[in-house]
Amino acid sequence: MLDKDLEGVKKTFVQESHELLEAMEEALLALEKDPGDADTVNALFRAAHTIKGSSGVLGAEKAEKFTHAVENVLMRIRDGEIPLTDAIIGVMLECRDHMLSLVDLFDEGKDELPGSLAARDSLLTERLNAFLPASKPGGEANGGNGEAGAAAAAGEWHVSVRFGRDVLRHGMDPASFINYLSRLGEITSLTAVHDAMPSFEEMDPESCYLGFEIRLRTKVNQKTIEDAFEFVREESALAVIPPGSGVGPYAELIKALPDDPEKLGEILVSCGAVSRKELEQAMSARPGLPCEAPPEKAAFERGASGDASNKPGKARARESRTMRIDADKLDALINLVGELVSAGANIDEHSRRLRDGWLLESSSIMSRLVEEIRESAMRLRMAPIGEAFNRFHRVVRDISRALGKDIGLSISGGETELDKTVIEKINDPLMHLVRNAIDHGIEMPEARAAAGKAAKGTVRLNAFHDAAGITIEITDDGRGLDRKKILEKAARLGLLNPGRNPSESELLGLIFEPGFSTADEITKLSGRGVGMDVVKKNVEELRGTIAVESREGAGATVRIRLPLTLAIIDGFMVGINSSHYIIPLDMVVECVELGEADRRASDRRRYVNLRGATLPYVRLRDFFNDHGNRPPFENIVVVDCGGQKTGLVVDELLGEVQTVIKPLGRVYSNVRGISGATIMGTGKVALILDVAGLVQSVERAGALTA
Amino acid sequence: MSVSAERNGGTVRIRIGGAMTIYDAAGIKKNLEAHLFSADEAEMDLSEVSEIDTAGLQLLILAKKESLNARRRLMFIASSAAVDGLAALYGVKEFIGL
Amino acid sequence: MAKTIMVVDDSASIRQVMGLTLKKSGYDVIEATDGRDALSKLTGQKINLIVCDLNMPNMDGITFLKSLKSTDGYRFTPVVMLTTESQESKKQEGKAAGARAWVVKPFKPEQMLDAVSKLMMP
Repeated sequence: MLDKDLEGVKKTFVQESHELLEAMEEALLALEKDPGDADTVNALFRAAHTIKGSSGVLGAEKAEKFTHAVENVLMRIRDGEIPLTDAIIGVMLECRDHMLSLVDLFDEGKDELPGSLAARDSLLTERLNAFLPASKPGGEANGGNGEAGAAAAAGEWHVSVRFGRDVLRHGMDPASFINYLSRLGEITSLTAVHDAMPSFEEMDPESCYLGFEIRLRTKVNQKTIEDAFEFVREESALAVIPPGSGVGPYAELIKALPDDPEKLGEILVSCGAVSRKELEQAMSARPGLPCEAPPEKAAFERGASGDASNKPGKARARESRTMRIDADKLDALINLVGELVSAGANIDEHSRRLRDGWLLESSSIMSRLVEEIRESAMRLRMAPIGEAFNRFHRVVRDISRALGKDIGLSISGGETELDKTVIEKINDPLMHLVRNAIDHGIEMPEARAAAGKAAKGTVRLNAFHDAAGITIEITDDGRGLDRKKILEKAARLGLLNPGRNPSESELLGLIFEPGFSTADEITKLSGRGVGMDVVKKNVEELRGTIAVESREGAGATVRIRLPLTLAIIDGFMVGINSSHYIIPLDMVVECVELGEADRRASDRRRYVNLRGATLPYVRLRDFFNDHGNRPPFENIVVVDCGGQKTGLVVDELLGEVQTVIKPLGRVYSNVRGISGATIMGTGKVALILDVAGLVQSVERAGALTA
Repeated sequence: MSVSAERNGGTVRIRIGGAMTIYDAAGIKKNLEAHLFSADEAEMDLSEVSEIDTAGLQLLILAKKESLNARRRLMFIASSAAVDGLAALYGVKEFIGL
Repeated sequence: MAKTIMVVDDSASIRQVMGLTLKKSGYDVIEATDGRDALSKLTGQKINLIVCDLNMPNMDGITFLKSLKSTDGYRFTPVVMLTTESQESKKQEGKAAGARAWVVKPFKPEQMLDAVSKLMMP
């Protein structure tokens, strides 16, 4: 309020107060003669009440505080709680005079009471308080929603409200509450629930049947959000769920509300409040939530067409359900956990030496807890790949339409978990491969029909865990790769020696060479300079491998194998000299002793005869340049990598271990043959072998010497 | 508030104009009951609606739900800024078919 | 079109403060000194919201509210009741009459605007 305005209001206030105080005096004098006159008592009370109210609004604090005490006493008199005695009338008259002084003081613009008035103020307040019950201290100005609460970062709150039937009749329009809410922050998602609406005959047009599930991104506190509904709260069902509350409160909500739990669950999932998985687990007592997300519900990050306009809210809500954490912070945490494991191992060792039973027990409990912490820290980085897959529903739909093709997308293995950062980085290669499949792989409907295939083509995304990694397959049922064209192109680019007949996998592998594209024309959609070589590079940056398989006339499959850079795996530990290495257990076929004859021959050749079959092998000691003394006995661990068996020659077989992969530091991230490290129970580090990488380098070495 | 219904073959066109507030809700509902299923198909023209509140919007939701339940076609052929605004705030534009 | 708010209070200074506050926020304001005065001013014009004191001479807030509920064209007008903490029993009575929105006196002008914006679209 501007000062100028305030001056005008102040004058009115002072004038009005003078009138009211005059009326009070008259009333008091009249009551001295007739103490039983209820109307006069009421008028007296009202005068004090009005002065208190207006002095509060104007900020005349002293007058307000004192008048409040007066009002409290007068209220007791009005309500018959205390009799109106001459003594009270005497005090009231004094109070009335004092109020006049306080109002005049405010008029003069003074905030502080001069000494004499201050003394009178406290004296009279004391005398007034004597007429009040002890528990009721006078004059507490309740500021209401002034307090800000702890300044919280903007999080996404969930607001669930079912308005009471009578709100409209009481003049309350839900729209205004929603609108008010939108001013507290940003409504990222809002779904109206109208299940409660009855049929035509039963519906009362003046009743309210609506409810809402709202996601609100705001910095305000819970009370402020709840207060948005203060006027309808008693008759409405309101739940305000803070950000990061977990699935519990949502499950409660579903149980508490009369709406169809399936429908409500669907709303909560699609607005990003909870994930389907969480909800299913929490509601396991209530089966029946559909498992596969319908395609139109999928969140799309970059929609190509115009109808994406109503999606961003949902997409945003979905994203924020997961917290973004700097990967470095997570690595730091995991490193600390590693240190914790080492420290724990030391304590364990010492307690063993001390043979203190109590200490041993405590130490073993701690070890177990540390182990749990380590595991959950590892899981923090894991996420299902399904979300990355789902966005392709839109891509496939839009691109196939643009090309005049009829193509469906089928997804499987969406629940397969892998490192979140890997998921993020695999997005672009996947996009390229899917576009390729649609653009170059799948034929036009007429061509398909002519080839005796269904007019509708299919692109399939599949993911599964295998050995120590995850495999992602992009399959199409199109025409497959054209070998003749690949051969021609390869010859032109000088990638093949003329006259040499390359093997199938060698030939197909050529499409990943830089500058290679068999499409006669670079189309708008794929092409564009980004070739398969870039895809390969991206995959290799993730320490993965990529391969293509083609069935002429029937389609192609691109298979990406990625290591789980951070995962808990079952491993097989082997020793070389004093170093320990871990081989993913799934890849281990068998272990055999390296015979004396083979040992002697091994300096000349790189294979052994295993039950009549040739088994190429690599001596890890040589591979890692470990020049220590060779032990009297060596062993071969036979591993199977992508159907190809290879032997790894090691010193010692140390047995199965369950272990976690710890990412290698930057310095070691390019070391061939190692995919990660782990901290053993003893606190020592063991390196995890990248078997695929090892086998490849063996192949390459073989090719060189061949 | 004004409601008119015009039949043209198998289609009835319901035009609502003026205010669609709680003061008008009872009257509009009666009209909807009378006309919504008076032909095979219904069309609704809301282009002349100058003001709408939650009570008014509820009637549109009701009409849509009833039509869906009865497997009857209800097309909203024209809307107004007031109707669009509230329907957008409530996120029911798609449901109603505005 | 500006929304119209009626302020019913026997205190001229409260009416003035609220009038200024609401006008500054872009509302048209009609003032009435008590319930009876307020009823006499409901002559068919659009009133989007009413702010009404509880304790007034001639006709108090609750009686006014009851009359309002049977006045054509104003039955569903949202009403903010002004009250003091010392009026709990009155609050019950008001609730029975259909009052839902309460603002406790003394209040700051911003608190009044806050309540108004909860009850009315801009």
